[in-house]
Amino acid sequence: MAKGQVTNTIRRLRFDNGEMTQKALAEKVGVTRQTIIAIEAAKYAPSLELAFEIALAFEVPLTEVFSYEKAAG
Amino acid sequence: MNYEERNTWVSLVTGILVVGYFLGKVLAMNENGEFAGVDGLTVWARTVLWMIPVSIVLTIVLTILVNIAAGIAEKDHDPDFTSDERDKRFSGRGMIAAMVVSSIGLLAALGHLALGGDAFLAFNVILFTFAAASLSSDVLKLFFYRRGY
Repeated sequence: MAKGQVTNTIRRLRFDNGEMTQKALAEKVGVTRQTIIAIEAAKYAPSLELAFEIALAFEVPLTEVFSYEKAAG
Repeated sequence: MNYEERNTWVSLVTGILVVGYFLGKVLAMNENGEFAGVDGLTVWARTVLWMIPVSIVLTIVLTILVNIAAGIAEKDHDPDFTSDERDKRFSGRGMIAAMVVSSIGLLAALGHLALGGDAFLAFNVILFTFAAASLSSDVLKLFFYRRGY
């Protein structure tokens, strides 16, 4: 089965929330800054719990933060 | 680079140094016939048992030094020592790799003994594949940290 990709809008949401830093977001959701960097760059797909935590941090629905792109084929 | 990734690098370097040193030592002692006597396995065990304390002390010292150096280099006055779900997921993957490699070593040693091979080689195969298992776990974790997962 071809692997899809989880994409996100965290960069834009941080910008919309007064240029929230990656460190501030990391502290808010209880992970390291490197994990936020990896998620933002789509190099790490977070757990469902962490995905909800991030959405809650921005006070938006989960689908506004994350979307899933199915691989072609 | 976060705290857990730095520690993985330390573990890898420590592993290479300790395994390299003890592998060289065991090979040299074997060359000199120091394991040839009836108490050969006892001599071998007393030699390789030192791997554990040496490894622990070296890991502690290097971890402290590397984290101090990282703190200075990154000018971070509030270093983060937390480990999160990403670290745990990579650690889990590393453990699976370690289990696979060590199982192969154990099976190889058992096969060697089953075919009438000597216990000395079997013990060495087990010891050094366990060491290789730890190294492969670290390499896989670092691969995930660098490439992403």
